[in-house]
Amino acid sequence: MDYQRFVTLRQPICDSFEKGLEKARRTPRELSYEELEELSVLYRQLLNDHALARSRFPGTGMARRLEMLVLQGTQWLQRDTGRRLPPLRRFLSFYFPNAMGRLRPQLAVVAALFAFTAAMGFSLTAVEPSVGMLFLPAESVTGLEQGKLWTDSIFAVTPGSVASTRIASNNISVLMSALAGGMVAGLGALWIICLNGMMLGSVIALTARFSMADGLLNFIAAHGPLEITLILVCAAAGLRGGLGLIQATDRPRVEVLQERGLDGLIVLLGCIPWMIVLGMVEGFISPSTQLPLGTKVALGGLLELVFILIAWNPLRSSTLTQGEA
Amino acid sequence: MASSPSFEGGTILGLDNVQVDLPLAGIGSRSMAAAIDHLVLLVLQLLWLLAATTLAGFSIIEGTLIPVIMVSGFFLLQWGYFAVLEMSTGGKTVGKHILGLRVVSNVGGRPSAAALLIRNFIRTFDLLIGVPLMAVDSRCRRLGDMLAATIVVHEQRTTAEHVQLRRFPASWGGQEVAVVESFLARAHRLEGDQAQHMADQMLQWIRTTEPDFWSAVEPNLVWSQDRVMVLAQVVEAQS
Repeated sequence: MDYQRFVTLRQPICDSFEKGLEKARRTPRELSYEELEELSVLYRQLLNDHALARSRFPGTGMARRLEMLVLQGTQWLQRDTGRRLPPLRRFLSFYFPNAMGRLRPQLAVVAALFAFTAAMGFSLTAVEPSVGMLFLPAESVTGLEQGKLWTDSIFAVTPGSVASTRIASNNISVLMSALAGGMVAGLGALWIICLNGMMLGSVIALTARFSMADGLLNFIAAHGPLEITLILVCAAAGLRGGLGLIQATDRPRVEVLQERGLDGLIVLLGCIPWMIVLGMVEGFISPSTQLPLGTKVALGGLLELVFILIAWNPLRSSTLTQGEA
Repeated sequence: MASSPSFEGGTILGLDNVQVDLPLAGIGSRSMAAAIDHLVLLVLQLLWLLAATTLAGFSIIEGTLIPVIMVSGFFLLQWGYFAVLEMSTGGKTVGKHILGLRVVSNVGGRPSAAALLIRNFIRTFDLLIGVPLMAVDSRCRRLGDMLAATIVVHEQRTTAEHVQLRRFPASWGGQEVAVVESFLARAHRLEGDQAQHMADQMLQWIRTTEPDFWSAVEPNLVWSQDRVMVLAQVVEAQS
């Protein structure tokens, strides 16, 4: 086919596609099924014309126009359908529990590491109190020496609503950092776990040294268990992603990373609402001196139990529906 | 004759295995877009701070709510600016819009909301490792792009002006057409009277090599000193 004939034959197709695409972009909701179908057929035709023009008439205006239309059409007509966020019910019954199920090995590793570093922080601080003082500001240590827990002074001057917002946003940032940091070969997640483990162990040992451990436990009883669990879960998801970067499998690393990145996002989305709830608990319930320890422990246990039941839902569906496959 | 531009690593296979070259954005333009976005983010945070203090100053809202609004606003801006803008504009932020960039899926289509969330939650760490990764990756991806299966492309090529000939001798093939189109597209950028000189040479060439075509076209020509305009008339150039 000579160039002139090619241009004469393809010009109307280009014009028609350009017009249809413009309409589709401007008013996508008004697009009928027939119009969309026609647009798809024209797109396919243009793709093939583009291939012909690219090899037979490179550098010509028609080849450039076809390339431009193909790029525009690809951007508008092709959608990433494999990474859609599911509706809430499906998220809770399938995506979140199955993503959590795949985390078990990494969760065991980060839990063991957390326990180890907490024990190490406790032992080191018990032997050498200056280690524990590294994790607390000087005024908090002075407060402990005077028999006052730093949480008392913070919550005495900060309203519960402000404290809740600050705590929730800070904790969500920690979850995101644990997850995102884990994707960097697992290093960020391991750092956050070690740091938090050391901090918890050291602070408990330090408060015990000043005979105030019961006050600290009273403060963390309601929100602490689930807060630690959520950090461990997100760190485990990050670690799993990071291992995908390191481990050699029969699949390309990028493919493994993408799959685990999506799992990580699902886990994160499943954990964030809990951090908001915990922010409120920590801002309003934990500092309360009127609530007995038993009530706080029961609340902490209940929150943990509900999360575990949702996260490892025993009735979860394990198969994809037709639309998700 | 130069072939159509190719972008290393930016070639995808479309339907029917047709190759399509995606105009990948490089480190320079991406870093510049990110710098602009962080500047915009800073301005938004300052505006948020100003709005909150103004509300407090006029006692429009309760005093204890001010820090709540400020903290939550800062948090949402920090973590949501990129993701929300990219989701609502189909892959663009302010910086990307200014530099003509867009996030697309790795097959050139629209990325899903999940993919845009994934590529943005890791942004903080990509500030440290993103640039070296982009430097070594053939598709110029940072870690967030790898996780989300996205790439960033230039939009200019999809909207660039180009010249197309409506009339030319029947014996011309793609090469001859491409030479004239390319010249007409760039003529205004040539210095001095280079463009006029080259246009004159092209007119001479058409007159001597395509006498039949020339005799059919010449009677309707409006001659002027601007030879580029005359050439454009001869070939009915359309931009």
